[in-house]
Amino acid sequence: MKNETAIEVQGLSKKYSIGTIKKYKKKEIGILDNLLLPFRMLRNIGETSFFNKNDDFIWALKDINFKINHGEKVGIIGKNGAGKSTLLKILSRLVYPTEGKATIRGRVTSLLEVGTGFNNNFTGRENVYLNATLYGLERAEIDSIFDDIVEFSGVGKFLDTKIKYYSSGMRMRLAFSVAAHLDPDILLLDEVLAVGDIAFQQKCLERVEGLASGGRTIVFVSHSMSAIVKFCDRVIWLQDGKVIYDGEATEAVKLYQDGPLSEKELDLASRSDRKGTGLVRYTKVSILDENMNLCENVRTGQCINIALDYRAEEPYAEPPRDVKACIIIEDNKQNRLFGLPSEILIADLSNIKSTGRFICKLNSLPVIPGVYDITISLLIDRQLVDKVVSAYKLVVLEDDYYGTGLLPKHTMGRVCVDFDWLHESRN
Amino acid sequence: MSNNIHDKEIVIEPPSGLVHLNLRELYEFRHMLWSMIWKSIRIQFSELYLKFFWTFARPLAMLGVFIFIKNYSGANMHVSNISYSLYLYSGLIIWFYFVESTNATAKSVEKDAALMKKIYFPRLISPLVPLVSNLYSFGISAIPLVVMIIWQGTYPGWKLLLLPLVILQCMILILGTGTMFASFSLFSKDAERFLKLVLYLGLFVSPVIYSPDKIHAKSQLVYFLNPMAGTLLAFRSCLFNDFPFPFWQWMYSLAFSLVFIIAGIRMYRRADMHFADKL
Repeated sequence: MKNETAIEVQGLSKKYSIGTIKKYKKKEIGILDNLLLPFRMLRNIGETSFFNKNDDFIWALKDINFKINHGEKVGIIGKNGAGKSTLLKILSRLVYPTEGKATIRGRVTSLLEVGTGFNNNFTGRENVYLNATLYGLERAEIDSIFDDIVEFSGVGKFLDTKIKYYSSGMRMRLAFSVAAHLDPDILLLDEVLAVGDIAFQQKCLERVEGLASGGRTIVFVSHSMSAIVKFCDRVIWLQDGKVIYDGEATEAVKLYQDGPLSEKELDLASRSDRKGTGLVRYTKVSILDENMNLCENVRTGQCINIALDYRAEEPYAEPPRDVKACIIIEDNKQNRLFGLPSEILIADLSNIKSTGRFICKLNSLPVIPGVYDITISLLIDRQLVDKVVSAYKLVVLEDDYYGTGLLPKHTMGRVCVDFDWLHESRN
Repeated sequence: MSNNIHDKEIVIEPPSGLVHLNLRELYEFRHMLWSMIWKSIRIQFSELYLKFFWTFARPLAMLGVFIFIKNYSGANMHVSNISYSLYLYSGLIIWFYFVESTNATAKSVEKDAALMKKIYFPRLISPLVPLVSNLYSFGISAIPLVVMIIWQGTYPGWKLLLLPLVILQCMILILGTGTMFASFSLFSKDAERFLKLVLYLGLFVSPVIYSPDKIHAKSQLVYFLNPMAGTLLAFRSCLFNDFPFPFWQWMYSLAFSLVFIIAGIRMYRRADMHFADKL
């Protein structure tokens, strides 16, 4: 039985030591201080040890889980410091994970940079051979692709010139050509496409596209959303070392670009896929914090207010008496997690005139980090007047909800409940 | 497109305490190892106009100086059975191979740091590269020795067959010491200085320039605690038939080397867990 999974990642975490913060006096930079430095160092001998247990740590990755099947093209996106590169380094076996496990099936090549191991004193030809052996190719294999590499790079004339005389562009083109002619089952790529002039970049993109359509598995870390959309059919979005979104690429990129991460207010005027009579329409969704300010980041356990602005098609002469608003929170796989119907509370939403705002307050947002859909609906006099499915994508970041630094694993469900454990021992 | 490539499975896990040497993986990466060895040899020689001259220059210059001192000061080096020039030159070339390779293996991790951050390969490749590539200079510096042997007519006997064994023992000692210090120097640069000092003093406490017969019989026991003492004498015995083979001393050197390589590689594997984080 052939295993369909190319890459399987289970509970992968990586802890980095950021070192003990040493106390330096501002004064210690004068000439005298430099002269005395050897003696000052003596003072510190006792304090330093090889594996300092008191070091401060950060979790670059925390409990990452996903599976990538053979032939899938997966983009990894996220802000700087979100853990993208760390993930790629672990998959490339450059650093060990602290916890968890990753399994890779197939011949894998990771391109974290092009031209690794290029030596200035060697000719272009020699460097092609050297570089390709570093990616695990044998001499005969390199012989067979050598002409293609040279032709692709367009530096054929200078092949027997030492590369210290190359321009940086030529060097990059030669380096990329080697990389582009490796033929692995699984390719791990880190932002290496942006080399050379526009024409060469175009050529590289085509080449990677060719590789991509050839049934290879590609894991691609990039900040270029256009490249992600072009090559990837799936996106894993990392934030603070966690997977907050794992799914369809175009949607993820759309979310990421005009995403709720920057925009805490979303205008619904453009939404035409609505249900209901339309006597009253929701116009805007805003996420506010407890002080009714727009919220920068939404975190697990935070107090938030979901504000829904509305406008009546025609102002009511006599306000309707029976008004029911409802918010439903779904995870990104369209599983409903919980609803917030106004009708079960003694909330009075009636007295609608022309415009206004409903505010739903959650004292503590009970979901683990991730992306959630907010569906909103409005019933007036038992008639559905407006319903917007997935009106808003709520990105929830991690927070220390339980005061222990831990949150339930997503495999247990995505809801965080306020709970406690007691033990009554009967001896 | 064969299916068997999918069978290859790489499992990435946190490092466990019991890391063992993966020789099979090393074999799979042999092409990379050879390519890096050739690269290292080419780098050593590509920038020199008098390529080979510089390889003999140091042992030949030292040979000249010491013969001068010996002849004009009347110092007795206590060398018996073979001429002093053969004794000294043969000692110098293997001693310099030892010193340079040990220094280079100890520094190999630092040297390959950029590569280690970008490409996966078995980490043991790094120290193996200078160990093997320096054999090339060693071989070249042996050319004057061959000329001297023919000139003086002191031919080797059957013991020449043992020469590969003695050189292998020397390489084991180098790799053991080198990996050990490469692991240390990841955490502290002091280790590197310490190694330099030991190797520098080593020239004077090893039988390179003079014969151990010069040492008082009771002190010889201490003198031969130096693992290179046995190696140096055994190396000469393989080359010169009349030179007795220092059986027990060399056995000690061999045992010492084996202990060092086991310890060194264990430490190196342990340090490997932290390479990428520390570099």
